[in-house]
Amino acid sequence: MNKYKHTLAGLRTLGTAGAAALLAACATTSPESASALDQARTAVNRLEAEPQAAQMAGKPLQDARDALAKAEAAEQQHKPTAEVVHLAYLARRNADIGEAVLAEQSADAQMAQAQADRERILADARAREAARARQQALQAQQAAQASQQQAQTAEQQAQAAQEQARELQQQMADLQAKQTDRGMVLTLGNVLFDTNGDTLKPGADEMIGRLAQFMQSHPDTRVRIEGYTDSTGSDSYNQALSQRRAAAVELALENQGVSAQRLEAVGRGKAAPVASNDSPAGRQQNRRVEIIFSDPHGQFAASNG
Amino acid sequence: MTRVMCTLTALCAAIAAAGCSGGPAPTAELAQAHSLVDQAEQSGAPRYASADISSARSKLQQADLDARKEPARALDEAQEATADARVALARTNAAKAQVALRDVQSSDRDLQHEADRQDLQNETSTPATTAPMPQ
Repeated sequence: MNKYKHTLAGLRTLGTAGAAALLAACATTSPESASALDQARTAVNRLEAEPQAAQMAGKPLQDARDALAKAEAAEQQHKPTAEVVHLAYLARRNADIGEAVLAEQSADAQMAQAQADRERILADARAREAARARQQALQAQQAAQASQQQAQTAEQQAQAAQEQARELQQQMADLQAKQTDRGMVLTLGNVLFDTNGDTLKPGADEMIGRLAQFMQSHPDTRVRIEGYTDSTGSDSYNQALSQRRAAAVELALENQGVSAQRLEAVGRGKAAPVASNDSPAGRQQNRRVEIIFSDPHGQFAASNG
Repeated sequence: MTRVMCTLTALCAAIAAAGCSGGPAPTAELAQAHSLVDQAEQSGAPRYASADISSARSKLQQADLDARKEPARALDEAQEATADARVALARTNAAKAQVALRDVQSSDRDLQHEADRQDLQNETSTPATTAPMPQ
């Protein structure tokens, strides 16, 4: 700096003094101006190498080029070192301005990106938050629906069970079955068979048909068919007759499509009379076939051994 | 060679100093340099571009001192002070833009971090609330 001022002052003084001979002696480049020009060229070249320079820093780039051109011309024309150094300095500083402008532009461009990123991050976060809320609402709704569905199903099942029970009761009533400690029991009177015979009369068809229909609409119900006689005659005869009568009813039901698996036929002979065997009317009551129904799950009442 | 020249110029300067003043002071250039230096100082150059602004200041001071007696020299000094002040301004603006950028970028990272954390928290807590209670 001091040297600069010194030289500047000296040369100007020389200029005004008109020392032409001295200037001729200074024809060779001074180290100061060479160094200043070098620095200026380096700075201008660096700025020119930036791809954005012309577009984003056109003014400082142009100023730097102009100053550099002037500095180089001054050098060519052997102008005083101070002038060359001054112009080279202006060139370098304009290049510095251009560099700083580019740095600012670059930061601004990145700032626009960072702000766009910020909007995106916030929008993303809001969207994810909303999705979470929707998901939670959906889950809650689904849970509510599921429990409502469950309640409905339970109610329907209860209604269906009730309905079934009512139906069963009605059908049992239709069949004139009676509730006993052995379960529901239907008594087919002696009138269905010929005396001493084991063939069902045609009049029994209707009763067998209704029974078969009942069995079809209650597929898990099983029946035990028990044949009974009065006390007249030998035990073995009565046992065999009651067995055959029960078997006849079983066969009739099988013929109506009821699976044999669901049927069992036993002869009980003169056991368990329902009336006195002393009168014809009582004996007639004792000659009978009883149909014992299981519960809807195929289980017979416990006392039904 | 340079040394010889410098010695010669120094000699000449000493001889001619008294007679070399003349011409009007570079008032407009000085005013522009003052205005730019003030502007740079107000915009925060002492903080972001201290070397540039102090160079501008000292050249301007010198230019003011030289204005009357050596207007040509004062003109060069004022021009250099102006260039320095412009560099200081441009570098200050760039530095501020970079600081602002770093702020936003760092806040972006925080926001992203927070959003990821929320997601993670939700992922780990959601199955716990929806899974059937054991027994």
